[in-house]
Amino acid sequence: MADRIVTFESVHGALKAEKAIREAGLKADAISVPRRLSSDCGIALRFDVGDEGAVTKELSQHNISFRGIYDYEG
Amino acid sequence: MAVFQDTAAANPGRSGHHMSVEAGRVLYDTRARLASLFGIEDPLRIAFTLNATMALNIALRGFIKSGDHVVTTSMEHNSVARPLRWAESMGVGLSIVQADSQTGQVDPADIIKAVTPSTTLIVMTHASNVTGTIMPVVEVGEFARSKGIALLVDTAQTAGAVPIDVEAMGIDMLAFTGHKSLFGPMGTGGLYVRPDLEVESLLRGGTGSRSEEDVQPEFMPDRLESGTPNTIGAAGLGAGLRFIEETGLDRIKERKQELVERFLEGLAGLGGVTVYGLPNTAGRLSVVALNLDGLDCSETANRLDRDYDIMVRAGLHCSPWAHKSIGTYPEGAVRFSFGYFNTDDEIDAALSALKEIKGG
Repeated sequence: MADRIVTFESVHGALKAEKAIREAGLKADAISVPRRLSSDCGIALRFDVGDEGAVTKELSQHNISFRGIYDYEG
Repeated sequence: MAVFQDTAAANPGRSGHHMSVEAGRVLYDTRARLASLFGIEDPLRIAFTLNATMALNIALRGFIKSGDHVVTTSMEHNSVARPLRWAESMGVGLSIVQADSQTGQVDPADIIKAVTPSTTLIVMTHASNVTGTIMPVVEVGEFARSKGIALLVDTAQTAGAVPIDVEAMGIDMLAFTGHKSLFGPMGTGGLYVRPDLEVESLLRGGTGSRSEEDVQPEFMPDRLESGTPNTIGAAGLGAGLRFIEETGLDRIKERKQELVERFLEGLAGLGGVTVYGLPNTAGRLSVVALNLDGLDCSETANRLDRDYDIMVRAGLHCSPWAHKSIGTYPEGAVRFSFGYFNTDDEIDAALSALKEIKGG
């Protein structure tokens, strides 16, 4: 199963997103941001590729800005 | 707080491991509860601080610029008065609107009259910490919004005591403390800043975000929240907020009004007592400042403490302006403040103690 990850401006934004995504009945795991994407010491959310549309919809509905969505290379 | 210390006492927002993430969730949960209590749409517009004083200083120092004019009231705590006097010494214009000497109330028309073309900010307390008088924030907020003037409100006395809605009240910046009516521990508080309002940070660095950059992030809360936050305190504040949600703010407010009504009625029957502020419970918090005629306020307070185990605060309450406004400067007054957990019996005990002190 392929996964995607979404990165945010800050951990506070990531955790706001995590709450919104989970409350919408979707799965999201908080993980450390991979170094290849950012040198931030923050966290990213990992989700199922099939949920991408639903996840981005939740983010825009809750006015949560994110930095980028990438493939997860675990 | 004990659960937090055992399970999640890692640095929030600094790392991806599960304890750090859990700590971040605790912060976010408390932020979200605060946002809900104050009618704030985005919890991330709230930055945690150690107390209301710090929040007010960040707002005042970070918003006011040289050449600005600021309007405030004579009922402010010195957490507002001192930063404003400092700003004045740096070339900022300041107008202090006088409160009514009997009620401690400020007339919104007087605030409007004090505004000049260079006024950028109105700063006012939501309620006096001396007299408990609730101020006309809604009227001022409506005016400020229509003129594009920012409104900063000090809710140290009112957050968790009376309903607050930043949108309905036209509040652009709101400073609060956790350790009073929000039932949180000391060392908790915060500042709300409306979207698109620019407040420069006092502190820089230690945000856990944008580690590759040498400039402070401009997004909230990181912009105003430098350094490791008091996360265990936020856990305690979150528990306090849950208590308010479960009990109901209206019920808490009603109960405190009953207590203050009982006290004011009792005082009226005593005689020889001067009570400051509004004559009855309407428009006042459960704070009562008084003096026993002919007795120094510190003597009254000492005897209440020593002989009756009743703890009150005597003196100027960090608010010399307010005491000047109501005519109790420099003598001060004795201030009783009642909480939700006080009982009728305790009110009666305070009244009979005052009666005995007065008599003897």
